Amino acid sequence: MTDLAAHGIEVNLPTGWEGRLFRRPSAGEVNASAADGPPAPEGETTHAVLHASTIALPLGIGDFASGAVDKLGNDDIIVVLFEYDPSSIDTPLFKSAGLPRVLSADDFSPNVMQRAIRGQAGVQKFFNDQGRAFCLYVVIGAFARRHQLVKRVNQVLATLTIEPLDASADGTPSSTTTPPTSGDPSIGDPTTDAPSTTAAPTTTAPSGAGSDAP
Amino acid sequence: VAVLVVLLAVVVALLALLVAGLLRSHAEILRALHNLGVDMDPARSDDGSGVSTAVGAPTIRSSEVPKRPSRSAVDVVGTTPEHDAVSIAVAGAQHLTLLAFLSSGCGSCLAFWDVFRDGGPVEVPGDARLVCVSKDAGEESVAVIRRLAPLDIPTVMSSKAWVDYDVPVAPFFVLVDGESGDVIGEGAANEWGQVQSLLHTALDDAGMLDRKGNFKGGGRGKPKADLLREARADRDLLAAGIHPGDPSLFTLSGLEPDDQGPER
Repeated sequence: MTDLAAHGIEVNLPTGWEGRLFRRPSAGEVNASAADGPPAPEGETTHAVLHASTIALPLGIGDFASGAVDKLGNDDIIVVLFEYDPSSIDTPLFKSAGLPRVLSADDFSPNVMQRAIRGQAGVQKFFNDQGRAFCLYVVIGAFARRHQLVKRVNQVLATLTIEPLDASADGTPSSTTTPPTSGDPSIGDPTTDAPSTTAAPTTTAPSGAGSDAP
Repeated sequence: VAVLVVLLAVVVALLALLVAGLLRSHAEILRALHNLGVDMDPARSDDGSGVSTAVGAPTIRSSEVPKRPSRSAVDVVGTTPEHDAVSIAVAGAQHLTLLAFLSSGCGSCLAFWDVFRDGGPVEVPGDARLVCVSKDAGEESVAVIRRLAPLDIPTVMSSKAWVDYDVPVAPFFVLVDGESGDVIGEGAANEWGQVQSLLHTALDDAGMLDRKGNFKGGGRGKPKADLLREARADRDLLAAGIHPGDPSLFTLSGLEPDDQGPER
């Protein structure tokens, strides 16, 4: 088991999993490098992102793992935890309280994908936890194997902990992500609303890829 | 006069002892460096392996480390030069991993940083995943590592990994088989070609090469050539300042926006 902790998020990854906890650079932020993708546009701010996967994660993949999802084998999994601006908590999209720790096989659907990839399936849950707004996005390599794979997903989710924002202050400037455009109150069930994509135009793992957030 | 002669003799004897002690110490240092693969002999411009080096320049020859007790693979956990938390799966991974232990200070390491950052797609024997590992921020310059780190190869700052893999010198390379969880080869070298040679030997010893010297294990996913081509295209685009999502990627060159097809 491997402990990974940063930005007020902690996860314990089983053998064979790897992960990265990061925050994309804000506009004009010094020390920005391609590894975290290009800085966010002026006026936009950024928050914590967790990528955990059973495959070797390429550098510079999109926030919602574009550039990595297409590399999943049948038994592979990618878990993304993406944080939004805390001001988004009051929107209906994030009304669900608490990190979903137990997913069911039926939660997964081939339609809940940024870009449909034959055989794969995903699930997306918006929620608030510890005064922070998140989207949990999980992709499995084979919809047909969802009953086996969901157990491994839940094994990771069980170890995820989220700290309150103040407690997670790490010395870096607190920042926010552009509030989700899908936060429209008219939206019904948020879990079936796949993130709209402005993902990288290639299916490769572009180094220094930018945000593929909604 | 007799007293002076005796005194002089004593002084000479002491100096002789001192010189003998220094020579012995020097020899021990040279022996220790030799065991680590470092040749400090200024008279040698060729180490016999066909690799020419400048006379007087310290040389790290391609050198396997004397057989050490078998060790288990350990995941590499640390931070990136951008201060992100990262863990690289080594144990349990369904591929080989080549850990390149590099520092920002050693001259030989700089050659590897350059090759990994600017040398184009790096072909690693056994299709191993290459990961650069430096020591923690407390022992390294984060700014320099950030400048040296390749764009498309993971770089982890982890002193713990240096301890876990018992790294004796930099640059140092460790080849790990994720499926068996074993270290199957390790050694020091001062050129990438020498590392490839070491890896080839390690793979052969591990029975992972066929009679023609080709890697037996078939990689998953896309063919290697495709991956290399994609990596090269990504590198060129990034070098030109074109990031994913760049508007120029969605337009056809030579056409006005109105000419790009029928409206939908």
